Amino acid sequence: MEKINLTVLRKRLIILMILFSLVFVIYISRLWYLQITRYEYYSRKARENILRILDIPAPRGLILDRKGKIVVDNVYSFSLMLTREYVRNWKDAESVITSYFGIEKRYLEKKLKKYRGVPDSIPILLKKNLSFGEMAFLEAHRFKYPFLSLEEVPSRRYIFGDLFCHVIGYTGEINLKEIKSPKFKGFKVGDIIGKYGIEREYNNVLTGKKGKKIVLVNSIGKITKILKIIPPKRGKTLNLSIDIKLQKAAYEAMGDRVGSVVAIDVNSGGVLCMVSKPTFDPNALVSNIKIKDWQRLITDPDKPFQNRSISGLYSPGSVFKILMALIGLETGKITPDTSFFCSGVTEIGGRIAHCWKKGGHGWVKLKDAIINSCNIYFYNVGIRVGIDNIFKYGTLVGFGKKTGIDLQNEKSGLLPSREWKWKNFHTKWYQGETVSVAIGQGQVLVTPLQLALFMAKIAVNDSSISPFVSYLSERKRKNVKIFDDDKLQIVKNAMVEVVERGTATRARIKGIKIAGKTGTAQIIDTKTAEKLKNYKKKYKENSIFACFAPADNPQIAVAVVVEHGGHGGSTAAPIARDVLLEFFREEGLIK
Amino acid sequence: MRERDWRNFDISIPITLFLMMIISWTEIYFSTKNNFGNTFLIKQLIWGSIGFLLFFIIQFFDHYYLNYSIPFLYGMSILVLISTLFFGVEKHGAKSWFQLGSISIQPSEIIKIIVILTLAKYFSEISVKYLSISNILISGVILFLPVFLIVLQRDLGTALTLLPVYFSFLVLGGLKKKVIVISIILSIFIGIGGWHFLKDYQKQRIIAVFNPEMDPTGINYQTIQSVVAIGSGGMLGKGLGKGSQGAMGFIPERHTDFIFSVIAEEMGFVGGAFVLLLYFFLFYRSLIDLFDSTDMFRIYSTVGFVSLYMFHLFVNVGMALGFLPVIGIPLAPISYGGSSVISFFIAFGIVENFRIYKFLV
Repeated sequence: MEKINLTVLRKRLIILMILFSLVFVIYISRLWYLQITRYEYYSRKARENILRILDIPAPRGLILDRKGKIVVDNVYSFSLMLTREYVRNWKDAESVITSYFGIEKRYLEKKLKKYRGVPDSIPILLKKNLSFGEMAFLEAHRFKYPFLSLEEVPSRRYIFGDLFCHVIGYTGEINLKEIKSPKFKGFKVGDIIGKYGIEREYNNVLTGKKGKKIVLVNSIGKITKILKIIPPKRGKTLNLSIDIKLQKAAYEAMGDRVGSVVAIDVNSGGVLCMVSKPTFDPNALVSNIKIKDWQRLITDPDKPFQNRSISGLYSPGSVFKILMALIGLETGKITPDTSFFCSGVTEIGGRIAHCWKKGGHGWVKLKDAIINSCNIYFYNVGIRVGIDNIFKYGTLVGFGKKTGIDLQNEKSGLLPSREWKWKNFHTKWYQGETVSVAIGQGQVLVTPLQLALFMAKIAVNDSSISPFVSYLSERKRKNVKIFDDDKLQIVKNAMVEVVERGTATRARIKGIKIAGKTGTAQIIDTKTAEKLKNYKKKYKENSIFACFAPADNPQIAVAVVVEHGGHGGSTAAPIARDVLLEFFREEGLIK
Repeated sequence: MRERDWRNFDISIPITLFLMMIISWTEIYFSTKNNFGNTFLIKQLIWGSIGFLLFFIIQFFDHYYLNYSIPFLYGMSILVLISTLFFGVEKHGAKSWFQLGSISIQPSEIIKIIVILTLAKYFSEISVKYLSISNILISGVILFLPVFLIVLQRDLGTALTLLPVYFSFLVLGGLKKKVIVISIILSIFIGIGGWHFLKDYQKQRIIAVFNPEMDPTGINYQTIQSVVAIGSGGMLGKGLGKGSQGAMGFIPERHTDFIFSVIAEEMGFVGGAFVLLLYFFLFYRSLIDLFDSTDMFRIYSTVGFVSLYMFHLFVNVGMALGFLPVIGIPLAPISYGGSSVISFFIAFGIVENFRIYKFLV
């Protein structure tokens, strides 16, 4: 075979080098042609036909109630957009924005600060729901103010106003803190997210997919040609377990009182209504709320943004006696026939304790103790069963821990125990404290939702019910019994009589057996209250009522807490009655 | 025997590489700072520094040992490519990445270097005037085994860059007329077969180049915008960070695939031509030295590396200038990307190494 010699190889190398050099020659010529020969043409083209890819915001998913009725949808409105790259003089721009469109300077500055680092070509939404006058002004001054434009953007409409506000929440532009949080990964400055309630909890479900618009714009930002449109996709529809009619009934029954109403479907755990008062207007929050109004809302002493149903902490008062009776029977420390003497005052657990009835109830058995809500009877039960049993069974019925409902800012409440006491105060547990806890006072704190859940759990004797607002979070019941059925029945019967002839007669509905218990929780102890000459409203007791119905075939559990509402039977019980009435009317059980 | 002679060290090569990195760092910073701050710049600074470090470390080893370890390196490469198929992670649609903590590396970029060296070793040891069919077949297997594995990772761009290297080797090795005819026919078949491997969007991009008016709105707009950006740059450019086309984000990959457009827009003809001349100088200096070399392994390796990066430049700049379809091939080492920066430095480190170690005559 012929051996290769280096001369041949070098010849071939030259061929390759020529080939390579050719590429350089062609490319540099092309570069010269584009940048020098055709410079005028391309620089005009670059000025006049700037290609832009604009986002088209997507409407969020609809929210429906239990019966499929739309409670939240979207409306399109004309909005004012600011494109910073066309601003020549910021002073002029600021003055036209603030004077013609009534936008506060502070608001504008905040917005601009937020958009630092975002390309100047991305439009910033300044104001929604422009009036005809404002739109006409914009169109007439198109050339004078090229940095302002009009765009149709979807925004949330809360059809029932503040009726649902704490459950549904509201939306708003993502803030700088939220952008960094993993929950809102993938969201950009200017994106709309759920800020509160269901809107926030299910943000990823409700958020739609943005569309895109590829356009050519001229040097003053006017779109000269639309090249391609990818339409946006609406977010997924969300079904709630809330029943709008019940929600309305509860909302109206509460009136202007401060407090909360929660009703649960005892079979599924679905929340039927959840009212917290006072409310806020979500529609105002999604449109152009003024900084001043916002400040007023968040500094209101009545805390309208707090969802009292899940984060309001209250002493359960006498409602807790139901749990005490059940623990007593379950542990065998008492029987239905166990009786204690109530003289109105007694020394127990190392201290003097009173019954609410000054003269006392005399000798009472369990049933009458429940019906008449005798404190001294349950002081004794408390001493007999002890704090450890209270903690054990209290945990089983859902106190002292979050219920896990699909809403944020839920509080866990407090169910005291020896361990808790030691951890927080480094002292041992005293019997005197058990006495207070036994009547739902002292350290024990619950949320209205926990009260309703407690009722639901004893109604069907199942500790596995977990409450939810959206069906996406529904979990199957596992039927975990808490109490012996026969012993539970004894307490249930007593609860029925509470409504029939006891402290809660104002909750009674003809034809429906309701099992309930009132509570009147003190804010300050009785002695201090007597000392205060002006018995101010803010020291008045909280009015509580918790119940389930029908007693022999439970379907609904309701808890009502009215802050400073006085006696549980007089304020809270009638509100629960209104909710129950609406529920059974819908079910067709009563007319 | 050979000996190391530092007098032969060509300082102009590292200087050229350094100028390339300066341009890379500058434009990566200005084209990403709006959206990402300086994260991309910092990473590229790190990659560039590692590249220089490797470049100098390589100078302390005799390539004689490299020649010996090639079969081992080639075998390892095949194993790495196979394991990438199983343990790799997907990025930009290609499952060709290894994730090591927060950094991801693309082994195929480094393996390209080893494949070129393996082919160079094979061709340099034939030493016949014209390649025989069996020569072509054996070298074909050496090439297509890794190429096939890289294609399986759906990393078509990387696989594609090895083919021109092979072409250069065939030219250098010498083909008889008969063989040329057969290979033309064969490559047509491979071309048709390869077409089916392409994804729909890749096919559309190729169609769009030959027929730009067909869809001026969709696929080809990146090319149109790139040409407008370059053209509007003029002689001196619009200034760093001031390119209205680039900075506004008309192209999503402006710090990788379209970095040349941004350079030409912001630094003008002066900047664009300077970049091209840097490459020309680097390639010319690498090849011209071969004329007084008798080391066949050196000749083939150097031609292989130059062909590889010549092709990178050919495709990437050709795409920016509107000649070629949009194929994701970076302009190494200026485009952002660790693996391609490092393999570029290794390649030209080896080229430099050939200068320093020479046979004692």
